[in-house]
Amino acid sequence: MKTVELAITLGYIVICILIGVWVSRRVSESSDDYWVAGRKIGTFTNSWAIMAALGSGGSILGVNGLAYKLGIPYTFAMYAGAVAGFPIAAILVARQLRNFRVRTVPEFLDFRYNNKLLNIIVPLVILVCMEVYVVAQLKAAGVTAVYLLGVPYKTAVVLTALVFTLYVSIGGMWAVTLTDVLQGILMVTMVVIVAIAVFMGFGGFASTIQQGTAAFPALGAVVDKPIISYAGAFLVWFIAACTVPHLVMRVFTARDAHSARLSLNYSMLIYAVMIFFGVIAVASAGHILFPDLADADTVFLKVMEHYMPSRIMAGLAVAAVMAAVMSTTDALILAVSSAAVNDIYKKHFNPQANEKTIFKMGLVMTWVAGLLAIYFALNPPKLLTMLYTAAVGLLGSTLFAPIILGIWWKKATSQGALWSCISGGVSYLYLLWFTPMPALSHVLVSVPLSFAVFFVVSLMTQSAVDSKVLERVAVGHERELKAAEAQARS
Amino acid sequence: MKKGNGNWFEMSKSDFWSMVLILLLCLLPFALVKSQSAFLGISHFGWIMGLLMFLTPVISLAGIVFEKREN
Repeated sequence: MKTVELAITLGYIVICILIGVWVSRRVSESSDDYWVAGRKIGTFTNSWAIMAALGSGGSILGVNGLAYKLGIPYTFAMYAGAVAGFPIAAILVARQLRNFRVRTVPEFLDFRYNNKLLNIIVPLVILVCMEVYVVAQLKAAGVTAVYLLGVPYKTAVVLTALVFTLYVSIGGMWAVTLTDVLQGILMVTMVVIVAIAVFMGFGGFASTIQQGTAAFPALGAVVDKPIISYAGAFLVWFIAACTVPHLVMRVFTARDAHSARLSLNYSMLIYAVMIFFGVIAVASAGHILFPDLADADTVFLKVMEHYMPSRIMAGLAVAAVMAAVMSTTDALILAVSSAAVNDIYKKHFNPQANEKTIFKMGLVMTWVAGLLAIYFALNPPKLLTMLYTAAVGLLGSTLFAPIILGIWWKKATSQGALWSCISGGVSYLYLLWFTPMPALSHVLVSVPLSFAVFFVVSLMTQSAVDSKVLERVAVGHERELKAAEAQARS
Repeated sequence: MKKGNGNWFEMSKSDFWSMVLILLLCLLPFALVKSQSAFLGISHFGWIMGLLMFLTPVISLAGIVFEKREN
C-alpha cells in the first residue's frame, strides 16, 4: 500500500464530501436547485464543469493509451469529434434548450411532441445507457486504484461509488458542479505539468515529437483502417454534446442562454489544451522510454512516474485520475436519477407529486442508481467496453434527429419523432450486433436513417402539427429572452 | 418574435456562417486521410484534426461576438 499517495487521494475524497455537505443547505427541498442548480451557474464555473463532465477516465488514461497503440492521428480524429460537437451544440441547441426552461432531455421532447410512447422509450433508453456508462467508469476507477494505490479492486469500486453517490444525493447538481470544477482544474493542471516536464526533458515541443516518431514511426501515421471507421469515430462523439444527457444537463444549469453558449466553447478550449499537449507529450515519451508496454492504457501512469518521482506529485496525479472518473460518474448518476424521477416517476406514476416528494425521490433514486452501479461494477460484463460504446452511439442514433429537428423544423410531428427514434435505435443495434461493419461506423447509417424517417413520417402526418406548440418553440429561439430574464432577476 | 421564414426557424447570420465553417472544417481533414504527407513525423491529417480542436470553439465564440454586435 502506498501510504502518501493514499493519504492524498483520501484527502481529495474528503474535500468532495465536504463540498456535498456544504451545498446540501442550498438544495433543501427545492427540486430546481437539486436538478439544475437553480439555473444560476455562471460561465467560468460551467466551463470547468462541462470540461470535467466530458473528461472521464478515458480522457487521461484511455486517450494516451489509444495514441500509444493506434497513433496520434486516429486519436485526434476521435477526440476532435467530441470537441467540435460542442460549438455545434452551442449554435443548434444551447440557447433554445436553456430558454425552454426544461430540466431534462425527455422533458423537452414531451413539451415539443407530447407523445406517450416517446415519453416511455426515451427515459428508458437514457436510464440503461447512462447506467452502463457509470459502470464502465467505475470499473476504470477500480483498475486505476489497484494499479496506483495497491488497494483491492472491490474496495476501490465500493469506496469510489459510495463517495460520489453520497455527495450527489445530498447536494444534487450544486455538488456535481462544484466538485466538477475542483476535479477539472486538478486533472488539467496535472496533465499540463506532465506535458511541460516531458517537453523540457526532450528539449522542446518539436524535438519531443521528432524523437517520438523516430522511435515509433507509426505514432504519427494514419493507421490502416477504412475511412468510415475514422468518420464514425468522429461522428459518434460529434453528436454526443447534443444528445448525451449528463452533458446536455449542463446547458439547463446556466444562468442564461448566452452563458450556456460561452461555457460550451470555453470548456472545449480547456479540453483541447489537455488532450492536444497531453497526448503529444505522453505518447511520444511513452514510445521513447517504454517502447513495449503490454497494457497501453498505463502509458500516462508510467510517464508520470518517470517525470514525477516525488510521492506527493504522484499522489496528486492519482487524485487527478480519480477526479476524471468521478467528475463524469457524478454527472451520469444525476442524469440517471433525473430520468427515473422527473421523466418516469412524476410523468407516469405520480403526476401530482409536490416539490418535497420529488426532492426525496431524487435522493432515493440517486442511491438506487449508485448501488446498482456498484453491483454491476463488481461483476462487470465481459463486453463492457462494447456496451459502453454502444450506449453513446445508441443515444445519438435515437435522440439527435428528434432534438435538432424539434428545435428547428416547424413541420416536425410527434409521429415523425417517434419513428425516427425507433428506426435510429433499432438500426444502430442491428448494425452493431449483426453486421461486420468496422467499429464505431454504425452511426454513419443509423443517424442519416433516423433523419430520413423523421422527414418522411412528419410530412405524412402534417395534420398533427400543433400551432400552439410552435408558438412556444418560437419563444425558445428568442435572443432577447436573455435580456428579459436578466431584467426580471434584477 | 423571430419565427423565420418557410419551414424552419430563423438562425442568426453569424450562427449560420459559424456552423457552415465548422462543418466544412470538419470535412476537410477526411480528404487527407489517405495522404502520406507529414510534418515532424505526424501526418497532415493528424495535425488538422488536432488544430480542429482549437479552431471550432474559436469560430463559435467569434460568431457569438459578431451576433452581439449585430444586436
